[in-house]
This record gives sequence, structure tokens and C-alpha cells, in this order.
Amino acid sequence: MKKIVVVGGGVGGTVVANRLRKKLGKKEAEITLVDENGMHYYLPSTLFTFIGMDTPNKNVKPEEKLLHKGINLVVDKVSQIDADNRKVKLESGKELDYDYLVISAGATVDESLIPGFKEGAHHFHGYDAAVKLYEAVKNFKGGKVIIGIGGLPYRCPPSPYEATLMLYDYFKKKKKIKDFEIEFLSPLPRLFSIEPVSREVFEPKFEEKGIKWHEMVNVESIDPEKKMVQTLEGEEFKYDLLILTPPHRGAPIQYAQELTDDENWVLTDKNKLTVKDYDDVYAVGDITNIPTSKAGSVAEFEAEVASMRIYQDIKHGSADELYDGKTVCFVITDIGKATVVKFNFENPPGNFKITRFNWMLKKMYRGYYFRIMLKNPLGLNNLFTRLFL
Amino acid sequence: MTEEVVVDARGSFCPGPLMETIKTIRKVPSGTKIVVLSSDEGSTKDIPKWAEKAGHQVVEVSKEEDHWKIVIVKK
Repeated sequence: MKKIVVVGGGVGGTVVANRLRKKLGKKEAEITLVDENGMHYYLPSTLFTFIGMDTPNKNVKPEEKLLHKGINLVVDKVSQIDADNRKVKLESGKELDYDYLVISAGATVDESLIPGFKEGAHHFHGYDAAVKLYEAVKNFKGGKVIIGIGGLPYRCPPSPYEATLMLYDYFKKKKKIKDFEIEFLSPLPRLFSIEPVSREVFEPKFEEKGIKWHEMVNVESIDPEKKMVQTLEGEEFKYDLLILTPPHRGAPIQYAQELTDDENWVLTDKNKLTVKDYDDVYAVGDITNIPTSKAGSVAEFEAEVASMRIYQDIKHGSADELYDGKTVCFVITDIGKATVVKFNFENPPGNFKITRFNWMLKKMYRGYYFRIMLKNPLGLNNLFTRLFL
Repeated sequence: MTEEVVVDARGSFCPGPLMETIKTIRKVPSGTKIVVLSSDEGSTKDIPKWAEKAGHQVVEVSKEEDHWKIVIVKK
């Protein structure tokens, strides 16, 4: 019997464990998923939470309810991964041996990397932060809002742009604030990283709403007393409300071997999803250093590939399933409208249709995610994508 | 003697080479020469544009066999 250990119970880890449990009999494989708190967070709704359109409780569920029977859930922190000796060491002192390991522990935000961040800035990359931001947004009476990106890469690349466009609508239409302006700080040489999305979606929408943006701006520090953002380029931006995507890093796991870069992103083959030189170690989702979006859909599609490769290896002694960079995101352009962005390593996105229907799909997705996608009772991968996108 | 650091960003596409350059600039002392190697032609515009904006000196932009070389001196 093969031992499979999955580290992290987010999208990627849950999908890997569930797909493998459906494919492999209990005599063929023992599957253990380690998660640090045993709770599963549906993160896209932080975008709705920070303007009071959603609450955290609908987006958090116990991980054990989302796993198939026959998967051992261990609630513990991973203290070290030792790939040479095929061991996962836990903070409780327990050790798990494995034949196959999947690292899917995600990304973490580190506000301390920007001096003054904790005192001066808000963000929405997590429910506690989004709820706190809602209080600030709700009490905002007018003035200058600076929204920006405090470091690359970060989870859900379109989200700061979506937040900007939604916040404009919230202030303008819901709160009917007359005297406010929003400016956006991008570290990139253009507004958004993916050129067609920048040119055809975000730039026209920002122009339509009168939102000014600044390119090649790298935030260095925040002065919360003067309410000022200072940049590496020597510029200063005064704000009344500051919303900044904090720097992200790979989950804080120790590795006995050098499996990560200097920001703790796991060195992952972008097609096979194996880690460095280890054919028995996979990484999926936000924790990889693969040059694609850190997005839920990527974690889902990578998890399907990784689980298929492990299945193929156990059954046939080799694996040929490859990840092609497939990414699908709903991108909100207004409160009530969205478009779909689809691409892979070879084909850039295009043909953006901004519709109310896409907004409805984005709102519906959570139900599909919790009820169907994670457990996949019908055995049909990517059902939502096939039906609607 | 001027210290020299090489940022080999070949194989990475926009904004990768620019971001690698910025990451390196943050770490090295003033006066350091940063040699960026990039296979993305966009880097020949983006990196000098950013360097000039931030006040660093662009001393070379050249085409090598299969990549571009951009040399900056940190202010």
C-alpha cells in the first residue's frame, strides 16, 4: 500500500486528496491530509466582504466535511519536510512517512515587510483584514483613496483592480459620496501584468470611472502619521484611506533540502508539477514558483494533473499527464458586471465580454465550489468551466 | 572597484526581469553595477524606463546572441 501525504487543505490539497481517494482503493493507498487549523476558506468572497456584500461565515467550512471518507485529516502544523528521507515532521512531534508527497500549503501575507503597513494600510487578502477594511470603507466620508500593490507575486492578480472598480461603484452609487478620488499604484510597467487584460479591460474601465493610475511604483514604506506612501522611486502619495496588497511569501515551512527560492516559493516543474529533482514530491497552487497566476482555478487544475500523475505512477509505473498553464478567472469590472479571462502557457487571453451573466456566475461559483467541485461526486472535472465558460 | 551583480532573468517574461532587477537593487549598495540578462525584448524598454525614473544610471543596452543585456549602476 502506498502512503500519500498532502500538506495543506486549501483548494489544491483538498482536490488532490479527494481525486486520489476516488481513483484508488483503500488497499492501494492511505491518504493523509495535514492542515494547520482544519478550516477551509473560500477566498474570492473577501472582495465582496470588504464592501459589506458578504460575510466570512458563509465562506469558511470545516475541512473534514469537504473530504471524502477514507482520508485521514491531521490538524497540525508542518515543521519540516525532509524529501531525502520521505518524512513530514509535525509540530506535535509526530512524523509522517510517505511514498508521494503533495505540497499545497499556499501563500501567506507578510505586512511587516513594509514599514508602517500595520498602522497605516488596509487590505482584503484574508477575512479578518476584509472585515476590518469594511469598517474603514463604511465610515469613509470623502477624500483621497490610494489603492495599490505592495509586492509581487500575490494571490489573485486581478483582485486589487477589481477591488478598485467595486470600491468606486460602492462610494459613488451606494454611499453617494461626491467628494472622493481614487488613485492606483502599480509596480508594473503598465496597469496590469497581462497585456490584453490591461489594455482591453482594466484601462478602459479605470478611464471610464476617472481612476488615475501610476506605473512602476514600488512601495517602500508608509508614514501613518502623515498618511503618506513613500516609494523606492522617490515619490510620495498622500492618502486618506490606503488599501495595499501586502507582500506575499510561500507558506512558512522548513525544508531539509533546498526546495524553495529566497521567498519560500517551492521550485516546481511547470508542466510535471514535481519539485526540483524529486519525482515523488509535487507542489500545487499558490505555493509554487510557477510563472502563472496564484489563483484558485490554477490550484484546481494543477491538483487534477498532480493527482492523475500520482495515480498513473502507482498503476503503471510512469506518468504522462502535464499541466499546460490553464487558468480561468472571473474578473469583476463593476458591481453587477464581470468578464472571463482564460489562458494557458501558449495562448493569451482575449475576447472579453463584460456582462451581468458573468457577474451572476461569479456569485454562483461558491455554491458549485463547496457542493460539487471539491468532492466531484459526478467524476466530471472542470464541470463549471465546461458548462458555462 | 565597482561591485557587479548579474541578474539572469532569461526565460522569464514581463514583468519578471524588471521585478528581479528591482529586487536586486533593493539589496545591493549604492554604486553597484547590475547586469541584467533577459530574453524578453520588452525588458530593453521597461528596465531603462524604470531605472531612469528611480534615478539610477543606465550604462548599456545591447543585444547578445539570444538575449539582451541591460547594465545599470545604482545611484
